[in-house]
Amino acid sequence: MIVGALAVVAVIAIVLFRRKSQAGAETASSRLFRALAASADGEWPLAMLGEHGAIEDRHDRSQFARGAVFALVTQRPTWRSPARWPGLAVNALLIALAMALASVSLVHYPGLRVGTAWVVEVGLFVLGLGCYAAATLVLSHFGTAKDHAVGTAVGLMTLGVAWVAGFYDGAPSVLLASLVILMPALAVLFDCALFDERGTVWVAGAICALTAGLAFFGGFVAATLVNGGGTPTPLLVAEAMRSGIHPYSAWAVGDSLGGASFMLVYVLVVGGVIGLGAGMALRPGHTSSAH
Amino acid sequence: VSTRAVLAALAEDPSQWRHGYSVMKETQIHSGTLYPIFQRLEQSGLLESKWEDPLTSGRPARHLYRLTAPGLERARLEVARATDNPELQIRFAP
Repeated sequence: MIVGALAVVAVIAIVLFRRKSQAGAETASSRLFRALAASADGEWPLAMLGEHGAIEDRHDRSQFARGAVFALVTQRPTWRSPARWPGLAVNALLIALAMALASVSLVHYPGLRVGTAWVVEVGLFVLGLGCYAAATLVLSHFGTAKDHAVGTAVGLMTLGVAWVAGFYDGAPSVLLASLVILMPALAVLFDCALFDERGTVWVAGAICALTAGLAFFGGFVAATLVNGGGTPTPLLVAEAMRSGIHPYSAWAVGDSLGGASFMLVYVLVVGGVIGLGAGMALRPGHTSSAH
Repeated sequence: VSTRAVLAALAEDPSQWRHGYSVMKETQIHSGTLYPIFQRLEQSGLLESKWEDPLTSGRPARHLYRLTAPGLERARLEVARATDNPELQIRFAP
């Protein structure tokens, strides 16, 4: 996690330095708006881009940019881009899988439903999945079909990684799980190398972060459910005893659910920032390459 | 109410092409609200748009907007409704 946090700080610093040197005194909202508008569908984001460029007053321009970002992010989903449906469908299936796995775990292991804390945890979990669904819909407005395909494909590779990490205990599994945060950056590099989609390449990283987070949850929890928590070591048994959850397999599944839920946030935030940072760093200096 | 304000602003001089920013300044409507309204009005056939002539300044071209004939008719209807309705008059001055 420390490595992840350091990586995030490094990427943010690089991007800020690079952007600042390129854009001079431009505000963060203006930069964000230009990046989003150049990657968005339709003519009206470009119209806003033109208007934004014509506003001379810095404060007005920044205010315009903030409103325009809001409009871009909250626009209604359109279903006119069938090439993006597979990405949307994959994330919808992964969200359904996550809910199904959590439900099966709670039903099959009554020990996980002791007390009232689990109700709050389930509520937070559902809220988190709702955020994932909303972010997937928002991202469907941006980028090209290739960005979506690359982001989704690389994100899906996490399923295998998570399965292995969930099946085997130990340091190698933890290391493998930690590496998932690099998936979005990998998607950005693939997108750049394969399609040279530099103007919209950040979309591949963002979509990959979403898919990877969901895929990790699915693969990791499914593996734990299949192997029943694996072979208990004396250390793990002692930890399970201390938790008060019985039998050991219930504790193992609960532990897996907790870890995978943490990864839902960790991969999205840390991996997403790394992916977005890589995407923004690789973007060309101009903003019109997307169209 | 925002849509009415946009229609009214564009109906002041229907033959004139307007920039979004000038409409935004006149109506005091946020850009995040204004452009989706432009988009909806255009999709409904009430508004037409075109790109301004390419400039030599190097900045991206802007969109220009103007009401269509049905749009102008709708604008007049909305202004008349607002005039008859005191509550709308407070929030929307024709």
